[in-house]
Amino acid sequence: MNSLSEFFTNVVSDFARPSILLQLVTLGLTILSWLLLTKLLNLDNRRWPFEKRFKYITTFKKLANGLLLMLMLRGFGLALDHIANVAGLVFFLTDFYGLLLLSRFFIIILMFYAPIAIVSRFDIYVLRPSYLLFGFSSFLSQIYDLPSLLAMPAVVIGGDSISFNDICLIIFGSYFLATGSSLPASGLAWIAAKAFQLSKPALRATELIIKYLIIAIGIISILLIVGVNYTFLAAISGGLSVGLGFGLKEVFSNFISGLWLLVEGSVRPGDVLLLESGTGEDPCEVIELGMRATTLWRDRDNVELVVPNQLFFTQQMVTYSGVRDRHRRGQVLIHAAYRHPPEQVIAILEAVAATIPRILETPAPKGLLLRYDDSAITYAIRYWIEDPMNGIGIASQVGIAIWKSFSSHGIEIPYPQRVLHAEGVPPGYIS
Amino acid sequence: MVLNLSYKRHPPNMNGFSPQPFLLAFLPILAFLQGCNLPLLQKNKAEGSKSIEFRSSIRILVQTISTDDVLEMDYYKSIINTEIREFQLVNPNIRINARFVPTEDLEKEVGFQHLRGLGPDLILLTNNNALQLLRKKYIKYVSLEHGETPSIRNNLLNSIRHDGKLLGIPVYIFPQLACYDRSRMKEPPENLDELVRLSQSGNSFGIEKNIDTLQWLYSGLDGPLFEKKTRPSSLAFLRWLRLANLEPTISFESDPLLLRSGLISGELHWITCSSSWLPKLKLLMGKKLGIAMLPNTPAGKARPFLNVRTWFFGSQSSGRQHESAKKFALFSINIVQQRNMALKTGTVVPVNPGISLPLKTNKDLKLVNVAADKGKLLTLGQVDWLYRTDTALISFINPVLSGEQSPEEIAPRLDNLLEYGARK
Repeated sequence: MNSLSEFFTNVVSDFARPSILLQLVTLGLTILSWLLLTKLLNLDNRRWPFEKRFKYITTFKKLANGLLLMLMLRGFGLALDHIANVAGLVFFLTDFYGLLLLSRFFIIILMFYAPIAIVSRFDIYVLRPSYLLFGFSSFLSQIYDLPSLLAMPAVVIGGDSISFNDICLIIFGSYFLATGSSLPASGLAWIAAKAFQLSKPALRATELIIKYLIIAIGIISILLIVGVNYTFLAAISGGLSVGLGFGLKEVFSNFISGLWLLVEGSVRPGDVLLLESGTGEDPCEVIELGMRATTLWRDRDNVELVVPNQLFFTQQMVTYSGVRDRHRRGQVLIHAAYRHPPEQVIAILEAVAATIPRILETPAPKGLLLRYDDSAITYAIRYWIEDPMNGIGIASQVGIAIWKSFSSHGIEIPYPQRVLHAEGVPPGYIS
Repeated sequence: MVLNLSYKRHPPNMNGFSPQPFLLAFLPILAFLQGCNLPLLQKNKAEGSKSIEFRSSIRILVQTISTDDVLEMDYYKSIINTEIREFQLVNPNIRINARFVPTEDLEKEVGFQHLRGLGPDLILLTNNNALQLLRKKYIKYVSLEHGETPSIRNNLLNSIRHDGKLLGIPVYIFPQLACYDRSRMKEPPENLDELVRLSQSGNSFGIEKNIDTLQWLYSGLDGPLFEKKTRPSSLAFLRWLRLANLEPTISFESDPLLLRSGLISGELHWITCSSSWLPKLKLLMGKKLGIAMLPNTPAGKARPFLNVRTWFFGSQSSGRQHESAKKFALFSINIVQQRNMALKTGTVVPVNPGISLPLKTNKDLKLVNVAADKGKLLTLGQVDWLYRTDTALISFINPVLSGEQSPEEIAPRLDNLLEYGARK
């Protein structure tokens, strides 16, 4: 409570100065005028010239009110500076606000050219916390001696004193490394993909490897800047070794497995794997290869499965997206009555399969007579599809088309039949 | 989650983010800071055992010599922080935030704070750039009420007046001295002839060549400087500089830090120095450090300019802050504080004449006091003129030292310039 009281004493004293009051009044007047002007001009809702022709205008006009505020702040600030030479805080707010606007502008541009999910994540987890941190620290440095405050020693570990500066660097540096490395990694991977003609899964793997590299280099740099001595690092490493030997064994094992999978390229984001499940085999797409676990997506029920990386080392996996291609062969089994000539049935099956849009023309669909069963002949129509995740959907389409075609051609799909021969029963007993 | 949806491209929107609230959020914050009747402040007022209603906070800014000199910075910090602690013991309602800024950054720093309306309430300066700050309206005059008139020696208050008004409150004096290495020089030179003789016998000398620090030499050879009634005559001074510079062991430096490091490293055996350097020199040289008066001149005892450290008052303070700042400045020159400071440092001369110091037992303190008595005070206008004309004055001295121009050629031009300065 005492320090809070001191803080208030400082700020109340400083902000009771005429020079500060003048800036506050100016700021208030600017914002009031801006509110009035925005009501009058209605910039973000009115139709702008050439808006129909240039779609960018529609997107960017949302920034118009903000731009107006920045211009007004600058104008009022300059006037105050000219009159009283004390507009520093107004200028600071103007510049900070300008920076926010500029970053909004770049985020919108980025969204046109980069995946929105990555840009949004970057915006929410990196840019906005950065604004907050930067804004707060900049504001403090405007009114107090922030460098001296940050340079003060906060804790002493192993004979080394760690300042607030170092603590901020460790906390915020690690945070921004973890959250902010995706976008640069994505950019670098894109360049690598262009240069080396990488496939989509290889691009994603490269992106992850670059991300981990950025994080690793960043953390080492932070430790070097903070000046953690080698003895202390060795002690930490020793402690970690014991930790790894016991509690963290699984986590570390999964992490190393993830790295190995990336390097080996056997499981990469975008791959389709066939997982054994209670109801049969399910194709799942690899969404993300994380530090501990891999996230798979199963389209059947839109479920995300989190599978520890280590599992891929101990279990055999079937993949449709290995070295050659992602094509998968699908098959639908169908029965037809004995009275229909097999050539006719097979021709119908092949013709029907050829009409399904997502079935590849080459290799062509192939109809087969598989066996003679009790009640019907079993046929199979085999075809190839491009995306293994679509197998079930396409099989359903094929089944429906066969039913329709059989109906129009009079081909019977018989029910199970049993012929019973009664022996020793008097004639006429069975009517 | 459907993966491929997230990679679809469509015209982006603002993503739900509007930057305006960031700015609008500042208004309540600033209002809150302003001390309006907001709940948290009220709660704090109610809960606090001491009401903050009458508390105030002031910012003070202390000029140091160099950014790189950590020792010196720590020295200033310890002096000021001790003073602040003692002040707050008797004035718990006044909070003081001190900031230490090297000379080269001082004006920029004050300007930065002033532009934001948060200029320092008190600035502790060696008064060479006080008028520059006054011209930029960073500092203002101070008026002392009845009972506030401090007891200050040697008519120091008059030297801090400008246009008849008091501009600051002097705190302590740093006289100019000679510092030497006892291990290399048994006795320092008593006069200029001895200085040259010792240099010829192999002792190396370093002399600061800025005109304000050379004033003792000038007035000793050519008569008083900055006297309105007499026209200056620089010839003897320039001739001595020329002759001295011909001695390979006498060097003239404009950077005082070079002299200081030269003495510490043993490269120089004797240098002209300020008493403000003594703490660092004592720390680094120990018993090897000797201090002495500057050599006598043909005119008698050397009379160097006195550097006066002075509190100047910021122009942006609120009424309460200005009063608190004045209270602190006056506190720093009361008898107890002045005595404590003189005893603690052993290198500064208090401005308060009513202090009895143990001069018999503390030889360094005695020497510093004698040097201060012999020293000459300049008006703020003269100091300011020297400060601004330093480059021009050096441009007269350098050609003489390098032999490019003779003292006879330079002397009339230097005389004219100094005569102009004397009118300041």
